[in-house]
Amino acid sequence: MVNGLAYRILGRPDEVDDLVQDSFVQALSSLDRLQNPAAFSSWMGSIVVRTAHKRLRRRSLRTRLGLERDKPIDVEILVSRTAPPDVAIELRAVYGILNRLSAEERVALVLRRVEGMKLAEVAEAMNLSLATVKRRLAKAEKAVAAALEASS
Amino acid sequence: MTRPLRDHMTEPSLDEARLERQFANIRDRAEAPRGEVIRGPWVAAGGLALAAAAAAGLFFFYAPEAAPEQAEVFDGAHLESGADEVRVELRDGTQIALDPQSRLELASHGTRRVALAVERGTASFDVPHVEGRSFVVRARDVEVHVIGTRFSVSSLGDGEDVIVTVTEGVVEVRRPGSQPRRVSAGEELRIDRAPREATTPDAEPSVEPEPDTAQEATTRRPRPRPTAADLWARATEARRAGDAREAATAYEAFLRLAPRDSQAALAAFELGRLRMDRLGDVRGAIEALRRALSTAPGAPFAEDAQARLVDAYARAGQRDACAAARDRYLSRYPSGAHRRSVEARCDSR
Repeated sequence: MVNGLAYRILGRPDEVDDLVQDSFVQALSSLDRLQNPAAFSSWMGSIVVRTAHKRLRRRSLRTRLGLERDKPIDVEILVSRTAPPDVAIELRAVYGILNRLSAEERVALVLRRVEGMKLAEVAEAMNLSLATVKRRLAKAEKAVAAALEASS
Repeated sequence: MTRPLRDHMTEPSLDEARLERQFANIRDRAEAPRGEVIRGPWVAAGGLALAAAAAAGLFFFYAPEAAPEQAEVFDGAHLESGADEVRVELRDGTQIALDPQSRLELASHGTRRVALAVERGTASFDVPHVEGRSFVVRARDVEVHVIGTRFSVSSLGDGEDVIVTVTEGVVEVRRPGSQPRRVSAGEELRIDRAPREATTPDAEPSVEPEPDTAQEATTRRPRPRPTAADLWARATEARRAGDAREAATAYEAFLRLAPRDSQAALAAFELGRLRMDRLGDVRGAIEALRRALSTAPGAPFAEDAQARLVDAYARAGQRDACAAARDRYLSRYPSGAHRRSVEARCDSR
């Protein structure tokens, strides 16, 4: 679950291990705050989301400062060979524009579009208000729509 | 309802080696800043109670959820442990571990001199070197002068010996009427409590006479009495060196010494892995894995522990327990990483 979520948020297999490790180390240090063990999965998921968000923000800053180059996402390795054509197009559009989005827009878009989470779930996982999530998503969806338009 | 896009995406390739590598890195990183405290009851004693000191932020405690607070320690405070070990860190970085049922007085704590007194039991110290500052630990009339080292001082009660054990560095032990004595890393100095003067008529003679009738005896101690942190470090070191038996022994000792430590579940899980994979002790592995799961059912390694438990029961030929553990795994982790292998265990369903 953790590896998969990390993989889909980052869109790059080469960073998955680092994010998974960061997330588990974070989880271990705050394990005593987990009140309900049955909710472990969603608790762990939210840690992955927040850790990824931090990581993406840091990367974005380093890129702006010229300390890191933005590596492109190889969309083709992410799309399953069995994906229906329309789904494959949608995935290509989503992952094609991810690097152009802010960290918040990007994470919100993956959670909503890719993970299929409800708005309230996205807000909770990201620790943002519903209104903020809606704003971030609106901007991200606009970029996806433009990419879909361009591909048609 | 349409399936989410993720169902049409590839998965990251996850073989056992990669998972093992991830887990090893997580474990190593989680161990590195080991900063938890095993909290014990603070008992009011003397003029000032440590409970009050703690409330006022006079000590700072290592706790995973909170950054340590900067603090001053005021003279005369007492630190007393109950059934559990107690660990504190002073502002200068000195770490103190108090064994269960022990009591320590912070006689004075200044920039030039720190003086502590072990009134009962055993206290272990990890003292950073501070230029121009003396650090003295007293146990009755015995004084241990420290330069920068790790050591423990035991004062087991009236009429009993005072024991100084040095893990790293050198300390100088002084007592009235005796020449100062240096104790180095790996050595233990036992100071006989036999009466030396007629002013202590009630004192009992030494129960265990020391060799050559001396009142002090230094013995080589390759392994001084370890703290929970020492045992954890020893287990980690042994595991990295590939010494499974030594690592398992250290984890077992850790669990005996600190069963309620926040790392206890991880220690039990590691012990289960070692017993199962390296030591061929399946029944021992079952016991350890069950302990790990009951101690921290929501821990990040719980899924692995549950899957291993299924495997261990299968290997032990305990079919019913295997089936129960398997069903528990499948119910808790319907999309778990070990689903396929777990489903195939315990013979037919």
